[in-house]
Amino acid sequence: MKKVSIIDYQVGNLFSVTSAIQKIGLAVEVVQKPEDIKKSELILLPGVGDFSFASEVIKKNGIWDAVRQHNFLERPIVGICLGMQLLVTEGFENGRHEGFDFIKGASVALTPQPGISKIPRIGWHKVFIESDLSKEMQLSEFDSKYMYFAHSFHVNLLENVELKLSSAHGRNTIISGFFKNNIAGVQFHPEKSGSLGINFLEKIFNSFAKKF
Amino acid sequence: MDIKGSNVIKGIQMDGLRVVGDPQDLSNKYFEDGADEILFIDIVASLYGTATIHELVSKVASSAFIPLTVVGGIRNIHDARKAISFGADKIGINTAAVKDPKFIREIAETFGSQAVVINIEAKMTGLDSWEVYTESGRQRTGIAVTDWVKKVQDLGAGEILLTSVDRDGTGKGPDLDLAQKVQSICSIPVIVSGGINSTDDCSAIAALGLDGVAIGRNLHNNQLQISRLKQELLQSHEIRI
Repeated sequence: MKKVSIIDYQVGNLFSVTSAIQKIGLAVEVVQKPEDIKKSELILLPGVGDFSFASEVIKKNGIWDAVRQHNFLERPIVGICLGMQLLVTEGFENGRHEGFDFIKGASVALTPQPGISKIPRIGWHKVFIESDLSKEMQLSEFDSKYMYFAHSFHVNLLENVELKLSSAHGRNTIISGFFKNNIAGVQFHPEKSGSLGINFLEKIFNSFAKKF
Repeated sequence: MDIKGSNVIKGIQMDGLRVVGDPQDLSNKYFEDGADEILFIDIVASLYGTATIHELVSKVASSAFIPLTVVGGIRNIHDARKAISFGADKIGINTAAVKDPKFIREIAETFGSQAVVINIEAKMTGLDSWEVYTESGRQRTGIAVTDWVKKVQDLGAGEILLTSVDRDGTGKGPDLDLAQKVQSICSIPVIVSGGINSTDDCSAIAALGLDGVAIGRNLHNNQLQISRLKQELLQSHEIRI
């Protein structure tokens, strides 16, 4: 695999994730038109913005269907933060919105825990490998390591996945990543998590490159 | 507890910065030394209304893979979008928000709350009261910090950067009373800035339950080092190494 195609939902910072991918040594393109995705090897759904706004933008410009087609062909898709939330069935930010439904689950608001933890959940938190049934992903070196989070919503999974990462939010445990077949989602921002984050991203890409 | 390196770019102090180093080099140095975030505080922009550091942020964004926040000179959504397109992950606003609080909601709705940092410059006015100042601590507003903290949260702010006007640039220790006051009424993350001088200062801020510290002067003059600070704090706090 030589190139990553980043979907542009017209909000947020594509600069960081583009730089991170280039640092890893892959080519990057930012796509805004459905026809550009037909040739994509790996699609990346980036991290900043609002679920309702982002999903509306990409439904309107035809990218939504092109991403569905990419998944139908079992080509890899990586979602970061908001991108991860878009991968599941539905999201409840500013009303109920349809997600891609590649993984059964819902994106819901973080539970307020006054005096214990804050929302938005911004900052560095440890991620844990909660379960790993995958044969390809070798992520043990990232267990209990700090990654950077910036979110107010989190994903509840409603199906089993090959690999699950978790993180602590006050007294609760929340999903911080999942992997199944051609789909990978992380709640944190690997492109903002220092060298460790870059290594993590590289591991995901390498794993998909071997598999697909 | 996050340790953020604060790069203060002042037109008048460019000479001073030349003595300690180039802002891009400093940023990379702090990144490699373990900084959790870098704040670019554009005081010239804040005074004259033009942001001048976009190019610097882009350069840093391509080599320092940690959150970058641009503070100063963001007057409207166009400025915010521009800063973000050049690589800023978050934007920090003060004057523009005080002038038109609805601007906070506008940015939060466009980029998400997590991208919005409200830079509160607080100057002590009494034993238990502080006033919001704008324009790098030069312009008073008549607004009580406690009222403003509550208001910005309601409008969708993601984080507060709490700068003590009295302590900023002095290296004489942070205003812990201010920090404690804000923490007691705040349900969004608060980063304390101004006067941080030692591991004990950071420890005291962490003990009050605040989320991070921003250090400028004492990093640039090498009095403090991020890696050493973190090692020392690790003994009693959760900290990213």
